Amino acid sequence: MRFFKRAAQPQPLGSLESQVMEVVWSHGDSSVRDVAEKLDRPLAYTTVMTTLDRLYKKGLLERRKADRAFVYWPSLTRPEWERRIVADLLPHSGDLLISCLLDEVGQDVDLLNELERKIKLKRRELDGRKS
Amino acid sequence: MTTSYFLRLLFLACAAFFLLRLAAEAFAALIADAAIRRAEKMRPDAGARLVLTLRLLPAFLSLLLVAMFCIPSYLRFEPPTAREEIGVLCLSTAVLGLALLCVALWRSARAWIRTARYTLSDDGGIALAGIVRPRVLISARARRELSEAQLDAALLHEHAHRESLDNLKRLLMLLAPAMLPGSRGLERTWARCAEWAADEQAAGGDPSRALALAEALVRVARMQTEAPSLVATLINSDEDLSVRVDRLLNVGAPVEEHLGGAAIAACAAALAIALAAVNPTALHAVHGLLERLLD
Repeated sequence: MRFFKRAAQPQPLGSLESQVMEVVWSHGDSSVRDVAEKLDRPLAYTTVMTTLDRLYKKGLLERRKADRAFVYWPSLTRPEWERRIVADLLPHSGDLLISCLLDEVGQDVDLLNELERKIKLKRRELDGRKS
Repeated sequence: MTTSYFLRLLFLACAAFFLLRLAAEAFAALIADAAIRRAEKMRPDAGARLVLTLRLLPAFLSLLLVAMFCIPSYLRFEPPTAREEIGVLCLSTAVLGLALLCVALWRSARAWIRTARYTLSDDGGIALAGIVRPRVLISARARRELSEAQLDAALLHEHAHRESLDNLKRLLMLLAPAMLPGSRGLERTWARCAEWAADEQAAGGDPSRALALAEALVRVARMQTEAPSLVATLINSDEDLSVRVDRLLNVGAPVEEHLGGAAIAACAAALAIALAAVNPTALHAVHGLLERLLD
């Protein structure tokens, strides 16, 4: 019985781990056999089982027992996982004595288009008032 | 553990610092949410001051109380020759207090060194780095792509950060590491209010300059989005940019806010502490408490 929930640590994934995660992210609940069947290359059942177990221990997968076998599902969505990895790579904003014009990166392009449209409207309104 | 007079003083001071800090921070955590809500409705510079005060108050207050009460009462009432045992509670809290101080110093020194070496990438925007001799960093792309008016507005924004000593405030927060989770929200709110305040100061009530700054913000955000890096494509935190641009488009309508009451309360509290610190009865009572902690 687990008393403490494992937190997914932002450790880089190996090649096989990435492939396995891709399968689980795309198909949801999967047994070892399901994952092995959906991988691009044929791999031994035990190899897939060990990889899934490793991903479970890293906190990327959850699992439950069903008919003497484990069924795994992702504990984080793919974007959530990527955000954690990136946040870990970035220097913590509190760890630098820096004031940036813009702290955040990776803005939504649609939002930027919308903001530009608003600014243009305001610019036109301002120019209209001057002339 | 038997210790000498001054070693005992060191342990007591560290232990008292830790316990006072914990109590003050617990109180600050209780009112943090209300303060954050209030700060977001205030003028940005006043809001930034409010949350920063609450963030730094536990550390400042605990240091002040140790310096004004614990140390003087010990020096005045503790017999100088006595060798005494130090209890487990005192020893363990003293170690925690010392650890807290070490963490603060280590994080601050690391930030200082990293900031001195910090450079912007080509796709980075504009930043102000450092405290003593702050450097304005402008990426090559920002210099190329921003118009003269946009660059001027962006530089005024950085100048506003410099004027309000925002990087020094960041250092003070590092020197006062939080023990309880509530302070994260205070730090985030301070950062947001400090940006709004710098935007307002850079705009100076001039709609045309405010517009140039809004354009510069969106241009820099676009540069970062177009940057071919993992970082640029994965983090999404667009809410604040949108709020900042909207505020700049409606510049000239600041919300009036006065903190006169808070300033009077702070002065009254400082006066009360000063009066208590010169009162022998208060010092004697503090010494009694320290004796209990020592056991």
